[in-house]
Amino acid sequence: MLESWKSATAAVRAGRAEANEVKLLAQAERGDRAAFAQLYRAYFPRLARFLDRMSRDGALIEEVINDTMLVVWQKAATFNHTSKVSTWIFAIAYRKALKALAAHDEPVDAEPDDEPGDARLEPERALSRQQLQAQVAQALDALPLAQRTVVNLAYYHDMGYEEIASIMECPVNTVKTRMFNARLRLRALLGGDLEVER
Amino acid sequence: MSAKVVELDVGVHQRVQRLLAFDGALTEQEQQLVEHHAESCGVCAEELLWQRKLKAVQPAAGAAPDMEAALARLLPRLEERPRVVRRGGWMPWALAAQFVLLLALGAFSLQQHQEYRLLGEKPALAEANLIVIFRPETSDRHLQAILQYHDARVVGGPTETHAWLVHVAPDKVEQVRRALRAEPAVQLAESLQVAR
Repeated sequence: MLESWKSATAAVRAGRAEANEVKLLAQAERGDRAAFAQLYRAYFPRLARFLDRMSRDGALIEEVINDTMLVVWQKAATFNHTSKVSTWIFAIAYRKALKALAAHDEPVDAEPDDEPGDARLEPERALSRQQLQAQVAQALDALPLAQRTVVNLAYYHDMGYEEIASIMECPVNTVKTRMFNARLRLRALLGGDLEVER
Repeated sequence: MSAKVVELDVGVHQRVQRLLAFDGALTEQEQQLVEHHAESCGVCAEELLWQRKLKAVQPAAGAAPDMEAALARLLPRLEERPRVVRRGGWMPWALAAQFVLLLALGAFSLQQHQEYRLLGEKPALAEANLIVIFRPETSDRHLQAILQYHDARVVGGPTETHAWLVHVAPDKVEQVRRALRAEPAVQLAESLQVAR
């Protein structure tokens, strides 16, 4: 009962947030810079967090975010409401990031998608939260880019497989397979114990 | 008989194994399937718990760029935005395609004699002056009746979150917004007009 109430409340909250983003986009389309700036500030931290798993170059991250948001400004009228505003913006960011990484000669993929898991990163002792966060980051970075992107969007941006498929322009089954493989790999790298020491 | 049951369980188990990574972002039916299966499958229950712990750990990240400085660098580039649609080229065709799409979406429209607009005019997104979200249980017929009653015309939607973009007489936006909000079937009604 409590769970369904929480889920209904979350759905209403998400609906309001989406409605607000549609509103800001419509205002930006009319040339309202203040509305655009509001949208920019709402997306900057999310995009920075998303792109941080693709590149460690702060200047490159800023470049991709600004190129993405410039497209949002220029193409606001083409947003067709068949997806969420966030799906549309993240899809632009993902394409821009792939292009930027290729242009800057940054390695896009270290390993093929189906690489088996390798040795654990750390023995099974309780870690401080900071150590655990570093270890999780290291394990994520060991994944091929496509798997890492799926995990990043699913775990840390709460996106479903259909949204992720739309962002990465690939079939839903590909997303599920990448996630399945990524999960096995992360499990092998991180082990079963994710407890933080008290 | 028992072999059939085991086979079915294996199928569910495999399906759940591919779904549980999206825990929390699944459809209601899928979420129920995952949770119901996890109640009787130790492997999936343990995997679900492990994943929830992993999701709770925000991975270490590099220093984020300075947002305000980045925005300040972007703002001058916004001048490049095309404000006037030129005749010729692909843009009118793109607008025409968009217009046709929105027209199709307007099947719910209550003004059957909706006037056609010329190419190059503002797209429907700019024409919408209200955004409305109905409660999920609202039927199409009820939705139409409410909009018709308030002289509101659908110009876009529904979005993934079931939001409809509607147009009402510009001088009645606030009045209609308040009236729609008073409708029990309406979850949200917001003006898209820029505050003056």
